[in-house]
Order: sequence, then C-alpha cells, then structure tokens
Amino acid sequence: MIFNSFSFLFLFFPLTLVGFFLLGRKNRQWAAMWIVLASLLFYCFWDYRYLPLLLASIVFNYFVGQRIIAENQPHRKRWLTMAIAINLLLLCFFKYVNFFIGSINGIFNEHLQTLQLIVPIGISFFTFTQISFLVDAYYKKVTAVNFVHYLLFVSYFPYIVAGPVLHHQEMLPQFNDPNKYKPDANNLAAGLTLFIFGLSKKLLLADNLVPIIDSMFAHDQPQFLQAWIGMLAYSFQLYFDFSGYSDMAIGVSRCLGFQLPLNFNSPYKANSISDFWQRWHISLSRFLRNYLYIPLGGNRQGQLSRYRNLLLTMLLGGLWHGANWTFVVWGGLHGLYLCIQHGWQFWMGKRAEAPHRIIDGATRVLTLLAVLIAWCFFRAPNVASALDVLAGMIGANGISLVSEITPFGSLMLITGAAIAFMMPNTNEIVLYFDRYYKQGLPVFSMFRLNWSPTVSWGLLTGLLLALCLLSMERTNDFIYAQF
Amino acid sequence: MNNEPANTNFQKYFWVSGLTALAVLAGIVTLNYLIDPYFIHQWDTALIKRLSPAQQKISPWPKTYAAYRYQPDVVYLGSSRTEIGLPTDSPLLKDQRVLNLALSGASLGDSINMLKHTSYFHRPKMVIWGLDFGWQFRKKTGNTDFNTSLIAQDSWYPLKRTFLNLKRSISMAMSTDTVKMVLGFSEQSCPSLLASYGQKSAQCLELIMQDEGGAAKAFEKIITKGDPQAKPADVSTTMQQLDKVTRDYCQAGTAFRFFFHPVHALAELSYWGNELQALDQWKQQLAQMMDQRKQEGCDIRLMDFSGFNAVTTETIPQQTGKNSMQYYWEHSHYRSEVGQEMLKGLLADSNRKGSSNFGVELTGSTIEQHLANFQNQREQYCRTHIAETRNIIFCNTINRNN
Repeated sequence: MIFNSFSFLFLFFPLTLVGFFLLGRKNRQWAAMWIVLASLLFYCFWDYRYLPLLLASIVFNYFVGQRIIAENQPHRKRWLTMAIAINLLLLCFFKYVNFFIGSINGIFNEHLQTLQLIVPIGISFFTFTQISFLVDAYYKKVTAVNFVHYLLFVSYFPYIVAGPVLHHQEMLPQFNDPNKYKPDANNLAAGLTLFIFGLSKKLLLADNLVPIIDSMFAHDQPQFLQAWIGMLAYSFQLYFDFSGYSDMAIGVSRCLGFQLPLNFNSPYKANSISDFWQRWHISLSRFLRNYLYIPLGGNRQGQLSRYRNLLLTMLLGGLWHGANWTFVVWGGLHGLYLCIQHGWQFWMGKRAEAPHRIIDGATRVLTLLAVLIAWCFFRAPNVASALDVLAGMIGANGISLVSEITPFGSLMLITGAAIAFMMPNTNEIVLYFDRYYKQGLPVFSMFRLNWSPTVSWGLLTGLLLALCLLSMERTNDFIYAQF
Repeated sequence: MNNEPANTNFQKYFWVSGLTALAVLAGIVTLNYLIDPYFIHQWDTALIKRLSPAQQKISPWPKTYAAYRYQPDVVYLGSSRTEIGLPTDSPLLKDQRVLNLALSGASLGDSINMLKHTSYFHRPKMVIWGLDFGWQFRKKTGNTDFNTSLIAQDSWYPLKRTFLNLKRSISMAMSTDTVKMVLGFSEQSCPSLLASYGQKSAQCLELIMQDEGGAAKAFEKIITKGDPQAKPADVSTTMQQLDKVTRDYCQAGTAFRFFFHPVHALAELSYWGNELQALDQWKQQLAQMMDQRKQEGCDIRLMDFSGFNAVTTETIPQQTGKNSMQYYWEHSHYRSEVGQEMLKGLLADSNRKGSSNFGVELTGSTIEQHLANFQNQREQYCRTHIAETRNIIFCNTINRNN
C-alpha cells in the first residue's frame, strides 16, 4: 500500500485515524497499540514475508536497549557492540551481500552464485533508527521505555517505507503526551494540507517528469541538450518525489497528532554543499553526523582527519542508498565536494564568511551544478552509463540542439524549476505558525506564502486534491522506497 | 491569503476543500462518463458508430462490456493477430452472435480470463483461439492493461461494473481525451472496435500502417537485423491451464478451434530460429491434447496455418517494390481476407479435405510428418531466399552448412 492509492486515502487512513481517536478517549495504550497494528498491516501490504524480521528486530533491540540501560560497564559496552554488529550484519546481509559477491566476481573473475534475496522494505530506516536508540541508551540519554511505544516508534507507518530517519528523543516523548491522543482541528487541517501538497508534488510534478528522464536514459550516448534536460528533469523528479513523500509522511503523522522531523528545506537553494546537506534528507544527514562523523572524530583532530572523516561518512552514506558502485561514487563525490568546500573556507578564513551578493549567487549555481553532476551517478544503472551522460553534458556526444521534449514536458520542467528555485517550500507554507518547525534554517524565497485554514486555501487544496485523484490511475513507486 | 491562523474556521476549511474536490471530480467524472472516449460502457448505443482514433486505448474495457451485453455464441480469443485478422462477418457464422474478444498483447492468461468472463453470462458454443508461441504463452497477464476486476465472478457484476466504469472515469488521461473530443481536437478517423464486433477494422490498420511507414519498413528490421522473440516462460504450467480449460468447457459442450497464425515465413524463421525444437515440442503436446479431448467426446481441432504456404511466402515489399501486400499488413499481422480463408478451414467438416493447401489439421497421427515437412520447408525457404534471410540466424546456419 502506498500513500498515493485509493485504498490508503479512503480506507486505511480514515479507519486508522478514527480508531485512534476513539480508542484514545478510553485508553492511550490501546490507541498506541491500534497504530502499531495499523503500521504492521501497512508493512504487510508491502511485503508480509518480512514482518517476522521487523518484529524480531524490534524485540531484540528493545531487549538490548533495556539491558544497556540497566547494566554497568563493561557489560553495557559489550551489549552495545554486539547489538550494533548484529544490526549491521542483518542490513549487510539483505542489502549488500549480492553486491559483495558481484564485486568479487568482477574483480577476481570468480563465478560465485548470488543469493535470491528481496531487500526487506524499510530495513535501512528501521536499522538506523534503532542504532541511534542503542547508542543513546549507552550514553544514558534514554531512560526506561514503554514497549508498546518502542514498537510504535520503530514500526510507525508514516515513516517505515522511506523515512524520515526517526530519532527516539523526538518521538517517544510525544507518545507519552496525553494531549496527543485527542483530535485537534489545527493538526488535522495542517496535516491534511501538507499531505495534499506532498501528493501534488509526487503525482502532478515528479511522475510527469518521468517520460523526459526515461527518454534521455534510453539513449546510449545522449547529446548535449538531451543530457542537460534529462538531468535537470531527474533533479526535480527526485526532489519532488522524495520531499513529496516526506510531506505526506509528516502530514499523515500530523493528523494523528505526532510531529515528524523535517526532511527537506529547499535544498536546491543551497549556497554550499554543506548547506545542501542541511536541507536535503535532513534526518539522514543528522544521523550520519551524530552517529558516524562525530564518533569518527569529526573535526576535532585537525584538518586532514576532518577530510578523511567527511569522505568516509559520505562514502558510507552513499552506500546506505543502495548496493551499487554508482552510489559509492555519488557519496564519494559529495565527500570530495565537502572537502573542497572546507578546504576553501579554511584557506579563505574570515573572507569566506560574508560573500558579496554576486558571489553568493554564483556559489548557489555552483552548488547546484555539483549536485547535478553527482545525480548522474545516483540515477544511472552503472558507472559507465553515468559517464556517458556526463560526456553528453559537456558536449562530447555531439551538440545537437534538437530535444525530444514535448510541450507538456517543457511546462513540467519550467514549473518544477520555478517551484524549486523561487517558491517557499511546503513546510514554510503550511507550518509557519508552528513553533516546533520554526527552528528551520533561513530560506531564500522570492516571496512568502503562508497557509491558514481559510476559504481561499480550502478552494486551492480541494482543487489540488481533485487533480491528484485524477492522476492516481497510474502512479510510480516512490524512489526512496527502494533504499 | 489570510495570515491570521488564530481567527480561522477549521470546520469551514474542511468543508470547502472537501466540497471543492468533490465538485471538481463529480463534474469531470460525469463528463467522462457521458462522452465515454474509450467506449467503456457502450454496446447497443449509437455511440459505438462514432469514429475513434486509430489506436484505441484500453480495449479490454469495451470488450468485456460488450461480452456482458452481447452474450456471444462464438468468441475469438488470442492476441493482436486474432484481433486484426479474424473477421466476425464470416458467412459460415451468419446466424451466430460472434464477438472478437482477442486483445492486443494478450497472454494465454488474459485469453482464459476473457473466456471465463464471457462464459459467466452465456457459455459460448464455440471458441476460436489463435495461439502464439513465445510472449503470449505466459501464464499471467500480458501487456493488455487487462484489470482482473473486469472479469465477471458473481451476479453483482452489473453493479460492480458501473462502479468500475465510474472509477475509471477518474483519470487525467481520460479527461484529456474527453476534452479533446468535446473541443474537436481529437483524431477520429476509424470505426470503433465495437462497430465491427471486436475486430480492428482495415480502415484503422491503413492509418496505423501509414503512420508507421508501411509494410516495407516493417520488414526492414527482419531483413537487416532479424527479430528474435522472447523465449516463452513456463510452458508446462500454461499447458496445464490450457488442458484444464479445454477439459472443463468441452464437458459443458463448448467446441474449440485452435490455430497457429499464418505469420509471414520470414517472421516465423526470425522469431523462433533459436527455439525451433521447443516450438515443435509444443505443437506435439498440443496435438496430443487435442487427441485426448477428442477421445473424451469433445468437438475440438487444431490447425496450423503457419509455415511455408502460398500465403506465408508472399513476396515481400523489398522485392515487389510496393509498400503494401496482398495478405499482410506487415510480417506478423495478416489481413481479414486471410482470416476468412482460415475460418473456412477451421469451420469445415474435418472429414472433408479443403480445396487449398492453406492450413493443416494437427493430430497425433499427422504431427510427426507435419513437423518433418516443416523442417524441410524451413531449410528450403532459407536456400531459395538468401537475400532476405541473410540476417536470420537459423538460415545462416543452413546456408553455411551447404
């Protein structure tokens, strides 16, 4: 089941919502359990075969977490090490074992059989979510946790398929809050609106860009204009697809009264690569920073070790996305970009802090260009195809100015660009009055647009909902659901 | 926009957004339903006479609806070859209600589903079924967009179908086509499938072939590169399905006429050059199945129109210099006139030998000889058509060995 399906919109979600609030009036524990059951059912619709794995992972990590909380050193460290190792082994087995076998076969000319494995949906998300819980339990940032709340935290249906990567400190306190179990008109209105905006991003923008991208990747060696149009379209598709999913997840959760962390904040308006990573997949960046980059030493041991840690973090971050060398190259490129940026800032010193407006504009364009180049590897089926696209982008495959883009495709591309570069993002629009989200980063929008539950906004969201429902006949899966 | 959230009325907001969505959808669905650009709920209405675009969309929808309303005595099943080539106006079937329920891109599973669907309302007296080796011989759905909810399973079908038709009308693509039709921008140039009882008309094919560059262009691919088709998957399971379907329907008194399509000889060699052994085995299995059904008292026959007869060896456009052919639209799809001849063979008394050499009935006693002849004819064709077959792997092997 996906968010953009009739069964979710008109059956699963309304029933979940109504059941939750009805039970919440009687008993909060029952209401939480209701969402757990709904989440497990939601998970089963994707692939029921891995439900036991999800449940086993939850029970195991909960049990170990409790042991870590209760034990003293050195047992605490042993429990933590063992649990992280098991979590990572499980992740590696399902996600990377065939990649390793394939790589060994390629490098050593072996013929080892690959395994017939289906990657359990959401394994990357629920593994990272639980590792952060265990690490924080070790550092005594976690006290006793109710099992049902933990079960809900890990299996929570709005996030389980494609994130955001949740942190227990922002979710578990909410599950303990009695006020969250009461229906709230503000939450419902804001949540539904955000959901409809997310749905629109997915169905009206991202899915309509797919033919342009497919057409470009159908060419073995795309020419200049084809390559640029194709990659721009892919950049927008990925952004609208993933941020659309995040908006829907945040919206659905908001209707239930629980706030999920922000995951996007106009990433294509970033003025540097580090700024980009504070705006793109924010919850993953936060996880990588707190649980990988900082434990590796961060920038505490000098510039050189900082660069090493950045590179390592981004390489592993790339690999997290999928078992393919393209993701490793993509992560490596971003690591390299970050090293160059920090090297530049180190060399420039205070001169880099307040650039002239023209320089600031140029850095935004440069950042976008760097991101676009890296997306070639993210999208391509293999490194060779990505290099073909890059060759096309520099004109090495010919500079034909004839493009196959249709008028509708052009319209979609221009609309996507206008929204991504000029408009405030959905969170700025919908959640501006929400103190929780006001901690967001400063943004660069050409104008403000603040949602409030008025008739004019009602007309707009109603129209968007109608257009989305008309577009639900054929939908594509969410790109990040595969990670 | 109002920037004062404190003064807002949430209830009004919900009502306005909900009613707006509902009103827009209701308007669009009503328009789509009334215009019905894809004929999803037309049978005995004037609309079926309306012209439509040459490439008609979602044909399972009008065909399942027509089957429900028309309740045919004779149905044709199969893929686009049957849909295009087999006419519903054969004089031999003039007193029967005939419907061509073949679907472009249909798998065997699709054909079985279509048979189940039409039989729910009225069990056909005869099923005429075109078989393709390869991609059609798959268990599940092909590329027909044949939603299984279209298949009748209980007496609630009329109600469910109305609901499905309405749901189908919630569609951006359909709305776009409706608006195009209303504004007169839609290309409406050939009769609907329903107007010719499910057969794609020659008028439509002429237009499609014009768009695609004619028969010569279609043959070009085979001549220059060859055109091997996908290997059929899971033939044994699909054979079991076919066995079950024929057994069940024969017991209820339905007659079957199976046939292999007369694809052009070049296409036959190019498609299955690497799979000839599997193809022959499959024909043997089918012939055995026919014998078994006959022994059980079933009126069933299997005819092979493929191979190297007067039709399938028609000189190709590259040799004649013309861009059209007498028997074919292109190498894979044959014309209605060929279909009329095939129906004569299929519907003739099996004891009376037909006048032409077009079509051979396959039984357990004839199959071995037939396959041996076939192999000789394949080799002979390669040897006598060296220029056309130079890129066909099978012929290269034959000609090299000589």
